[in-house]
Amino acid sequence: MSMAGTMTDTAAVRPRHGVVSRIASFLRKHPVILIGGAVLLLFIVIALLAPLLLPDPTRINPVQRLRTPSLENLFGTDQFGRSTLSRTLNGTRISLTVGILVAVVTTAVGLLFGLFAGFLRRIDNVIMRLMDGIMAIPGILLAIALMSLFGSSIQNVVVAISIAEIPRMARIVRSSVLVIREQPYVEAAVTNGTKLPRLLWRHVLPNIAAPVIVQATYVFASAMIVESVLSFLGAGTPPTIPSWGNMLAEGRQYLQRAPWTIAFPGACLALLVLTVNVLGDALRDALDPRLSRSGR
Amino acid sequence: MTGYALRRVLSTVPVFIFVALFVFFLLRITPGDPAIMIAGDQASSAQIETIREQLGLNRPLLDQLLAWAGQLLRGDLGRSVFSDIPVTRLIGQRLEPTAMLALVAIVLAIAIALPLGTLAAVRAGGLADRVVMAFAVLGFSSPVFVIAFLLVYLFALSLGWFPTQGYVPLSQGVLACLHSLVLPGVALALLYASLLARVTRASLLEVLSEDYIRTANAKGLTPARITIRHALSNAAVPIVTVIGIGMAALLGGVVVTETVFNIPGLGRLATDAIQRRDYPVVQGLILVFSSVYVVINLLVDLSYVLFDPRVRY
Amino acid sequence: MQQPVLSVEQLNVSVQTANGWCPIVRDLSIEVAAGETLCLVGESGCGKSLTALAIMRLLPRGARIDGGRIRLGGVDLAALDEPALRNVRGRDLAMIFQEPMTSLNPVMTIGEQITEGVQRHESVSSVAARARALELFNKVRIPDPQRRLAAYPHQLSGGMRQRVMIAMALACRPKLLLADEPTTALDVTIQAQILEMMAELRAEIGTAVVFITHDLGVVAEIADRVAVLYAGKIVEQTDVVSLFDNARHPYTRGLMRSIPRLSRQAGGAVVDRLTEIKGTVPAPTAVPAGCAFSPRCASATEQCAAEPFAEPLAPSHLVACWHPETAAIAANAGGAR
Repeated sequence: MSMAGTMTDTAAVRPRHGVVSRIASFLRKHPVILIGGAVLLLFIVIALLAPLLLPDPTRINPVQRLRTPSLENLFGTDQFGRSTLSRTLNGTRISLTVGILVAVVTTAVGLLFGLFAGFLRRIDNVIMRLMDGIMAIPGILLAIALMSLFGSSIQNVVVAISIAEIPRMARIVRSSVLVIREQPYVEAAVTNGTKLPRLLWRHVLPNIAAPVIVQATYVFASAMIVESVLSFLGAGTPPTIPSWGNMLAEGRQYLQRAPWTIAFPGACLALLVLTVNVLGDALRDALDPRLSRSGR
Repeated sequence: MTGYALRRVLSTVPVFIFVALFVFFLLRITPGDPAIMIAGDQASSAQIETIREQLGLNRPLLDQLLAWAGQLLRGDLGRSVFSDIPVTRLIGQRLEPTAMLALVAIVLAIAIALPLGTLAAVRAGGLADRVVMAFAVLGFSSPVFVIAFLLVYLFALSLGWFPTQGYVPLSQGVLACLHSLVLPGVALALLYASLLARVTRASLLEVLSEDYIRTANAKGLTPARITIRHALSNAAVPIVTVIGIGMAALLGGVVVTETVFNIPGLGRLATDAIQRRDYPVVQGLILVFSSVYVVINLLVDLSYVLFDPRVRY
Repeated sequence: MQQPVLSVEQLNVSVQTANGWCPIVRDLSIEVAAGETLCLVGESGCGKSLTALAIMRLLPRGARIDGGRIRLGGVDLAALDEPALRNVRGRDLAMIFQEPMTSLNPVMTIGEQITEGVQRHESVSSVAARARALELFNKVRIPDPQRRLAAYPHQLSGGMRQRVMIAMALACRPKLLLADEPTTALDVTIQAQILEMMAELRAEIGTAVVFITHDLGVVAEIADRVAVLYAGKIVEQTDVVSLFDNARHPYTRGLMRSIPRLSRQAGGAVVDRLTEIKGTVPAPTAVPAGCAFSPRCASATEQCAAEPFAEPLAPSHLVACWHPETAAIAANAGGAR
């Protein structure tokens, strides 16, 4: 009753603090997101600083072949004498780059397809059959085939992985759109003559943001794994660039003699992917606990 | 078959058509001449010409498409460019290891995931729940080959309990075959099991909060009966759905696992073929893998009627 | 005097809120004799369902019993561990719920849902259990019972499902049945049938019943005794006739007065406005100290700042009020029959 008056007053007086303080209190309530975000940030910092602070990861030094980890070479050296530490930390760059780019591309294209399919019934069927078809081909196989045809490069890796991930994102966007379309507030906005762009921006996008963000996080994690698998099979990042997948492929024969060449990149990969997945779970629980039903 | 079943089966047709078309165009949309791609950089122009003839790449596109369709309908997947063996025969030869590996992985995954997921749901919030879910997240965050290396290092190289690689065919004994598949099977199963455990837990948790579980408790039924007969049977549909969808991840993982463990199956065939630019084989394998996935998901959909009497054909 | 089937003393149940545990049910004491029907009446949120769930020891997460004794046939339920409780539930103590739609397992036949209860508590063969299920179906008047054994809940109507629930609950002839608003979700005509059927069964099996409702019409129909709940406390407890003819607590009187009536008042004046009780029920987190009803009560004085005791104004007529109304209720303010 009398409370309502005071509430609107304070809101009018302090508009600026809204976003920042909301984010801060959100993080305080969900410590997992804070920690996960911090670890991710750490990896990003490493990725940015690695080429500046560490020795050249491609520099060959045959004298120092296969040294076990020591004070001189914290992570040891591989069969060409290259510093595993430098290669591992530089590998962060590839994984993060591919992961983030794939997430962005997948979200953008997935949104496009999903929105079209959700709003335009005529092409809904066509788009969904297309998505089903792409999903029917196991992602790794699809990616390898594409890579072998178009050649090895980071751009191609991003495109190939994105193609495999887009259908799931499109489905998620489409289901959300189908639900939102029926909501009374959308109907009201349409009756009021709201034009489509504004409708999308103010009514649709904010409400599909939650599942899309969560899925984008999972795509980020999945992309990093797929990139490493592709590189491991020789169909991903060119071998001249130090990526974790490449390191694992090269170190394979030395599993017994020099396990550190595999252990460190493997552990880093698992840790980074784990962080992103945990972030995804925490975001899902924070933004909309109902999403956990899909079990992803 | 009644309406729903028939419609469901028919809905797989566009998917098959899409995959077939995709595979057809895959080769032909590359930048550059597909025949050269296949023959390789060192090939002579005569070799390139032979390949072009063999695959009919010099004919108009429409002709090629019709020929391809005709081939597929006859069950002819062409011949390997590398070895000149019919693709179907190659696939037949390498089918057993992959099928056994997949079977071992699926059985292991379900056997691990269902009980653990159920435990996590029933003891939600407790230590068991957190531990199981932590392992599950770790399980699908680690790429299959990293887990594979770990397993090989521990159990093959250090302890010597299992072979580091290779496959023992069934003809040499079921136990020997299974023994050779333990490490690769576990590596593959862990990924699948993690997905399943998460879904099992989520689905079961939702079911356990339903009113009819309260009724079951009010009747004084034992926890075991409630969990298994009342809860799991209702949670089955989402779980079985993920078993179907997770198959894609499993099939992808097969490719990697066979490479790591040197198993002469379809996955290895795929990577070899891709490296050798043996496109008829690649095409055939994509078709086979996709078909398996589609059929399994079809079976999953049709199986819902077993779990939920409200689904009527 | 025969021991009461159910004896609840000073039951306290609280619920977890953002600010800690908040008491919902406070110092609740009721007794039910064998074969008797006690109606627990009150508005939404007054703690009726929680009371029943507390008796069953089936409180959901976020609710707990803070104190009090619950005795069923002399056995202290609080002293029993979970396995022992599971033996009691379904056999001596049964409960039916408000939502027949969601209270039955959708993937099990209703036949199985009854036989499993029977076979859990009695060592009978499955054939005998099936026979019992058929017998129960007949008792609750489910048409074509033989075929219905293999039916699934979604194939039945709401009224039919509630009959199945009742059959399930009474399958092992429990000493006490807790019914949490079983007819609220049903059509009025079905409601009448269900109530009638429950009354017959009750007479036949001799089960004591605690019937939770907010509908005074239902109370008039089936109750032997009534307990009126306000903000988690029992404000009046007596037999049904005394309640309708001689309610003493201002809240109960208010409830009686607010029953819509078609007839004219004495003197020919037309009743054209619904009488209401001024104010609203306090939220559980904001219950006033002392008598919870005092802010809305016309007879409130300073004395009401202290919690009133449950005074027996007549044998078995308890009222928790400092100023129970003594005037006879006007002639035309009667039951809702």
